[in-house]
Amino acid sequence: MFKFIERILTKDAVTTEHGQYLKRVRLKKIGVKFSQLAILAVVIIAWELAARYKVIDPFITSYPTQIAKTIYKMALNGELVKHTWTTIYETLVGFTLGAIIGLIVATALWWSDYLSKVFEPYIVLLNALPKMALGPILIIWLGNGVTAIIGMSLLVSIIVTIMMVYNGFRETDNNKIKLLRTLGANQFQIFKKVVLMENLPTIFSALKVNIGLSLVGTIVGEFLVSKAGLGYLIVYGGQVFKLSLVMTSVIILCIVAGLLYYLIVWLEKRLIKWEN
Amino acid sequence: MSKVEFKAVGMKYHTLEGETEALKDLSFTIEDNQFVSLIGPSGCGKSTTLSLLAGLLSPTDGQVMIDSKEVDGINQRVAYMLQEDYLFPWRSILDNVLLGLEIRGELNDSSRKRARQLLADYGLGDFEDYYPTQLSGGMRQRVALARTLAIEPDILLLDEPFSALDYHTKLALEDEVAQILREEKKTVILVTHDIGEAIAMSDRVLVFSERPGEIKSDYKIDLTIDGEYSTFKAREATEFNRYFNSLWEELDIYV
Repeated sequence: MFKFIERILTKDAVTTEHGQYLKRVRLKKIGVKFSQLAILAVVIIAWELAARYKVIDPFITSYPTQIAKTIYKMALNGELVKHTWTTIYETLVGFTLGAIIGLIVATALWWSDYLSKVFEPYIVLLNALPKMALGPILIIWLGNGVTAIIGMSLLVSIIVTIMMVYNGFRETDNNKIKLLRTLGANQFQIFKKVVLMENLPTIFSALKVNIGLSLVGTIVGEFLVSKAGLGYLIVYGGQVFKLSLVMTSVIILCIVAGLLYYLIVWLEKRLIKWEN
Repeated sequence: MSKVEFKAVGMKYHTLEGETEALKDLSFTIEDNQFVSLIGPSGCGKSTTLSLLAGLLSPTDGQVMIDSKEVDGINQRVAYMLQEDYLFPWRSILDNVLLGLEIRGELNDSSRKRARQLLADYGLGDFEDYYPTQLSGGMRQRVALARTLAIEPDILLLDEPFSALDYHTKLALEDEVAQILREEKKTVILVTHDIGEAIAMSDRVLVFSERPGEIKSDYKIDLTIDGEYSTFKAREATEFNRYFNSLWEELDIYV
């Protein structure tokens, strides 16, 4: 048994010493994973026990088995898919629109130095402004529904996209641009062949930040106007003091946020193959 | 008819702080197939001279002529090689070499074949599908040379192309590039800080004065080489040290 584990830990070793090295690296990796799971398990068990033995008030904290029951019930009656999908849909639409429009604006600013100088203070101002404050205005303009929520999601993410991507564009290696100019490239070719390509990693960093921000925008939007979605469930659960519903929604939101983030990471890996 | 002619060229740069005169009354001619090196103190306008020839800049005074025609914008027959290779990491080696052809809309079967032949000639045939990060510095600079020659220029502008390499690679590559360019019969203008490199590689060395740059002196390099030319043999020629010493004095360097 012991030998078997030893063999797995030193798999693919070239020499015995290399085997010892591999073993150290792998043990550390396993240790990290184990600790991560252990923290989760300890929190869940402690929460459950504390609630059962009334160390904490289960009415205001809920507890894991109750949350699991709620998730099961919601899965059966279709509520789970409906609310989760509503939030994902609103976030993805807002995020995608924000990314596309942001990219177009950043390109325009890079294209014209004059334009970027003119708009700089406005962009800085819009960035500093808490976008949530515009919620009521959006509702009046876009109506009391999904459009306003998507608007919120877009608004929260677009300014950051513009700023991050434009800064990346501006810092493109000048010598690479010079090289293209000596080859006779026009502005469009310079953009397509160097500026855009060199900044793909920057664009993806912006996307990674913004998928989270878009989700924030969506949840805030749902707080304000919605009839469905995880944000709606959280507000509703809070109003009727059903803490298990609130906790359940927050946990699903956690999972959704993680999945959306890894969707971008997956896209990045598919698109940027030369960096490893 | 001279290949390249500078007629009383002056170049001034403007900034908010004031005006810098990079070149003043610069005149010289370069014949077809000549390999000319430009040396001089830092900031004397050597790189400006190349930029003027490439059409990246326009002179504020005088005229820059190629084949008796005034340079106006980017010239299709001029190719520029920079200090570093600037290979694009997202393109394969072959795609990097094809860059110029792609931009000029000259990418077709025969130009692609020629580009691949260039890579094969430089011993990089097996690396076509590799990415630049997988190649050594010397190999990358050879790819940059292939990219430069793929567009079939008459005139090559080399702006310290070996300065970013380690010494051994630099010596080896100097020789390789000098041989290739002699064979290809190109007009070459090399900007360098390395006096030895200038003498070993060129037919002629132009020494620039301090800014504003003018030609201070013009050396025709005539080395006695037994057998086939190489930069290593050039460095062994009896005249090499004599040229080196006079160019060194000419540069008048105080540290």
